[in-house]
Amino acid sequence: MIFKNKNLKIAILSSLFGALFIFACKYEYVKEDPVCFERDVQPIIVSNCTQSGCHNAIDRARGRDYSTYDGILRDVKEGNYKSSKLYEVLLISGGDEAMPPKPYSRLSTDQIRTIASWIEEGATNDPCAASSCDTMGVMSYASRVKPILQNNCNGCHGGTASSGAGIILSDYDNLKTSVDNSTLLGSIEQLDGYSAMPKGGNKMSNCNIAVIRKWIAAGALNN
Amino acid sequence: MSLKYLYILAFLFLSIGLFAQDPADDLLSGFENKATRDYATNAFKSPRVINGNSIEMLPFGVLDFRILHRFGEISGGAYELFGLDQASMRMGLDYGFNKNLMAGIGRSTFRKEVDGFVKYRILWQSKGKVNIPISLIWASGMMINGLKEPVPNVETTFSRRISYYHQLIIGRKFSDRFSLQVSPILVHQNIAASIVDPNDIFAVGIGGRWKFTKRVALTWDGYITTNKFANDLKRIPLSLGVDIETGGHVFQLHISNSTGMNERAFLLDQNGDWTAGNIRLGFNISRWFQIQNRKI
Repeated sequence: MIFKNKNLKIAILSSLFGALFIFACKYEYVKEDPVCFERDVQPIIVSNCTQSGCHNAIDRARGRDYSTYDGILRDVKEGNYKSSKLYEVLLISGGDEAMPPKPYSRLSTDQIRTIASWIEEGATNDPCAASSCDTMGVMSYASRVKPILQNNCNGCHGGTASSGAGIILSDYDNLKTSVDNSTLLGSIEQLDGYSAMPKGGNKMSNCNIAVIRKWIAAGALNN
Repeated sequence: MSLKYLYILAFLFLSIGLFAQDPADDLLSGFENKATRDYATNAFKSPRVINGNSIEMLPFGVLDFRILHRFGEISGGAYELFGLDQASMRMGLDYGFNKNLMAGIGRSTFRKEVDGFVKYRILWQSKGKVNIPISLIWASGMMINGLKEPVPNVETTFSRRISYYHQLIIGRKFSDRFSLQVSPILVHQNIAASIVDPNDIFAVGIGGRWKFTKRVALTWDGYITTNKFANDLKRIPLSLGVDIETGGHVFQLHISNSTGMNERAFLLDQNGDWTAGNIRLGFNISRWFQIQNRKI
């Protein structure tokens, strides 16, 4: 017998494991609310691409006007973000083709993801569906922001925050400190240079982050 | 789909490897007195270069207790003790079932993720009676997210917790000082973060070591990701370290732009931008226990 029994066993076991690996694969992705052009994509493009001297109706740099849906669609292949010029130029890191050009900074990965998802979903200009994420109106501290912090942060950052590096988020005054030095937003958006939060867990949902961002943008009031 | 064929091909290839080596071993064992075969040992000090698998295997009967730490960003300054205030860790146990087969389990604090892997040596670099210029290793593993709600706002199923990796490690010990390896890897996640994030990610690892004294070596470990969404070469996981060996212990001290301590985490999660200095300190401690002795 050329094979030792043990090795045969190992070979059979490995094959079984291999089979398990092959057949246990699934291909799913997290389906968020559809990206809406007017609400999600246009603001990113307007603020990053249509400055003076760039892709607006007057300057039309390189013949492109990104101030309208039709103008943007010229560089989009609906349903295929990878072969869309609009996506390609956002990824290039240097040279003449890279957008936005120096000295402007590259879009964040989340912003690129929003644009790519919109293209992949068909790049439509449909009216925005009522979102399950309600960010209309005023974001009140008591009714919107505080519950999010309670559910996601105050386990460590409540009380005296002895297990949260002394950073207290459970009362308004202490929270305001973290808002004012921008560590709150930096941490929950998990930006470079900030300690990514929630620690050891998944990033909070886009909806929760949007609520907090809007509350901060309105002055982080105790309302 | 082409990926399925890739799996099958890779699998066939690996199975051939499984059967191909052992006859040679058998033949050899009969002639041990007449011909010697010198195996390349200690290409690395540990079965891991820093984050990724190395061409080194645990010897038979050895239990390796591994404690890994990754800290916060060094840019936190003295107030955060250069990141040491924020530790993330993985505890693991690896075992050498025979000279060519080892397996291990571990658990990371991040995502409360449990991982397990099997590593098999298909070819062992040797000279003398049998001349093989490289070592070839196959490693496969599985990672299970242990959070109560693994994917926020999505119904929890077991399969949504899981990701896998399959890896080939091709390496050579060029001299007592210098070893180098290349390791293509496929990581599969059952659920991707969005419509544009791929479920299968391919990357190629390049790891190596330069030993400058008997007990101290410089190591590097990087993975070039190819099809990650918005793949940014400034954020590929890169680590640079120093291995220090003290009888029975190996300390691996390093700086890195990644916090992940398993294949899914350091390849799929967002790493720091190393051109912007988003780097962190980390260390691995490995302690060997000989719990089974060689059969005679």
